[in-house]
Amino acid sequence: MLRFISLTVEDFGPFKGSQTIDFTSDDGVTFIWGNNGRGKTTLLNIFRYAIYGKFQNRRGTNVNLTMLSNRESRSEGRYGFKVVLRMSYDGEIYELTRQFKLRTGVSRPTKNDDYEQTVYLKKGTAILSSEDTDHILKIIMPEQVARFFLFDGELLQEYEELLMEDSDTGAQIKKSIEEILGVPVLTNGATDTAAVLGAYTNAKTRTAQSNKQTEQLGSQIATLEAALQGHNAELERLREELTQELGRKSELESEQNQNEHVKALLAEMKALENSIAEKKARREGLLSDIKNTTKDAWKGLIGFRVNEILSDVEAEVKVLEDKENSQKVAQHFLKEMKEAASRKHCNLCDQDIDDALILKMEERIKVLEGNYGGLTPEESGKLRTLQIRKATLETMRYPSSKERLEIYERQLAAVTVEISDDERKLKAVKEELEKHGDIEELSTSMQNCVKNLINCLKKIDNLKEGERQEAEQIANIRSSLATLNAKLDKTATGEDMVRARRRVELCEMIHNIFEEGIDAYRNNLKSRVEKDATDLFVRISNDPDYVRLEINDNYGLAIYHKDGGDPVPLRSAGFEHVVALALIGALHKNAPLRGPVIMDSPFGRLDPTHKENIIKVLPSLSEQVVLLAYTHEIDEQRARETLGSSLKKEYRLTRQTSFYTRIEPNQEVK
Amino acid sequence: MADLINFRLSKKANEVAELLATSGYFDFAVTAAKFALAYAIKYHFDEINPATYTPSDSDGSNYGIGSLDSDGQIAILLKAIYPDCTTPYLYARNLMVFGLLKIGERIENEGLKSISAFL
Repeated sequence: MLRFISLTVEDFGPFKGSQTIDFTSDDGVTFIWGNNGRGKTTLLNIFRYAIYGKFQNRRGTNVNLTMLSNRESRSEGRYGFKVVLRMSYDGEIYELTRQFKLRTGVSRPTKNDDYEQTVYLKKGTAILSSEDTDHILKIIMPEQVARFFLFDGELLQEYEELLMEDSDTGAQIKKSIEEILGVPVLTNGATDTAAVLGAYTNAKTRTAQSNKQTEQLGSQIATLEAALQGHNAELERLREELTQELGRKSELESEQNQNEHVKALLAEMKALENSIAEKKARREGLLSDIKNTTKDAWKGLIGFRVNEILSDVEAEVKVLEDKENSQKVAQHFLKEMKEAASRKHCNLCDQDIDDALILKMEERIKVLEGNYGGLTPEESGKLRTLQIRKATLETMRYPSSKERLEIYERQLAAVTVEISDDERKLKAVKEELEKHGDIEELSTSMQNCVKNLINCLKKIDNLKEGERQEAEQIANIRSSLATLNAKLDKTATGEDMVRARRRVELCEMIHNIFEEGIDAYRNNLKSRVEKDATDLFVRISNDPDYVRLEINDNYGLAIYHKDGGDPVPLRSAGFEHVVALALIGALHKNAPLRGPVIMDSPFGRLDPTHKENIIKVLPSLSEQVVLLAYTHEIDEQRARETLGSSLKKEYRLTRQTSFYTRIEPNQEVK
Repeated sequence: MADLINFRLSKKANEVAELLATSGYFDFAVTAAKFALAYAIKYHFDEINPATYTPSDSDGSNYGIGSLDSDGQIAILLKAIYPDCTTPYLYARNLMVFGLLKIGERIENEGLKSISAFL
């Protein structure tokens, strides 16, 4: 079994400097926590790079390696990167070093050719030759099966294709599944025995041709065999070409999807720009309203003080006006008294007044003239001034602008937040667009992509038709050959012919054993995979009524309800995920090849129950499981409790800067 | 005593007026200064005697009375509020400087998040 001992990365992606992850030699699970953008997927791809020398993005496209060196290291003058993967396999310790470095003589790279890639593998202390390195790496983890060891949770939905007939992706996954399950051991045997059978058949034909009795039949058979060989070669060529075209189709579809994505991003960018412009205009309008309001806001602001002063002024005016009024009333009364005193007769009561009373009245008149003498000239002047002041103040009682300004300001704050949100989204969209290169050239590239895809699809159709025709021809020729061979067997009686025929018959029987063995092995494997996948599925699933999985010829798994009937239709994305994980677990259990499982974000759209159930089954997926997850993707503490002693190590990817992540042992692990 | 025809704010007061204008709340610094005059009358009436208050300096921008009080309303108001006032524009300058400094203090403490909060 293959086991990773440690991984050292140097100036690779966000991992600046030299950083090492030590894995445990005990069976169990290692967690590597990291938030978005900290390098979890990069770390997964670093394992792939170490073993295969390739770095692929999620669309399966190879990434330009010059882009992978750490940005900060580059600015500090360190170019390139290095990975050292230490591992054990069959009792031996291996150290694989892969480095992307500057060529000798280059100090500041300007082009891809300024770099070179070196790889060497140490077995114990001895460095292996490049041939041995390739050989060992192919044995310990063949590239065709990498998807089952280093898997990206985001891509688990691909396994749904296994349920579809004639799906190209499904066919490729099926091929990988048969690789990991060891089917090629038998298919290679069948191919080899077929080659030997072909050689013995040719020998038999040559023997027939050399005999007068069977010469004519032999020649006919030879002609047909030559034709069969030609058609077989053509069929093989068509198949190879078809495989290539299917790969090309997949790349073009990926590019097309990418273009669709870019188109959507461009539309989103335009919509956001329009939205921002409209909101900015609204904001300008509100600012203009605010400015118009604040022009006269000072008037409303002094309203309170004006009212207060006005109230004092009014009080003062009242005192003086009261005094002025009481003098007017008193003047009238005094005039009446004076007239009565001078006439010695009161007009009010129409009675004469005696002299004694007249004296009293004159004294009283003197006193009253002192008390109601009216305003002094100063007081009159003051009253006039106060009255003018009062009138002025009364004109200054303006309403406050506070309420109106508050409304404008609330609207302004809301639109400012909206603008800021839109600008943040726009920035993200632009950053995403920048990753796709020159936007101007995009439409030409999109058109070319569509044209190429159409041509590719036509070619695939033609190749499939060619394949069908060749298969038909081959079947016809084989039928004719069978007839001729039967006739030859009846006719030929010579010892040479009998011996040649026996050889062919024996070889046919051996070949048939392989052919039947392949079917038997496949069927046996399928039933084991079906059983183990069902076992895992039932342990992970949150629906107790989903009781079993049924495997099809492509290794696709259908879910069955306890009530039987047809398989569950329209499975949710979450259940697709669970089925895919169950399949991968079952494949590991039945594969002759054993190795570590490294999973990046496998929880996707799963609910908490599914997540917890997956954590429970992690140790049964493989002896060594490494899980890359973002914080809160699962409940960390709960996961630790669930795994108990099966959790061996934890690391955390910690942000130092936008371009620098540190791999640190998690302090929270007990 | 003759009243002012032109006046200069203090340097600090001028900075506050400029800040209020550039924040987008006022069309011009002089509008903000007029606002500050009213602010001083509303909230700091008893703290300042505009007849005797002397700004620390006169290093701010120069304004003409016409741009401050084209319709004469400020002079009328100040004479109504301060009955002994014979130099309304001197009073106006002093109240504007004082008010701007007070607004400046509030901005330093609370930031300038809204203008309605000053009303």
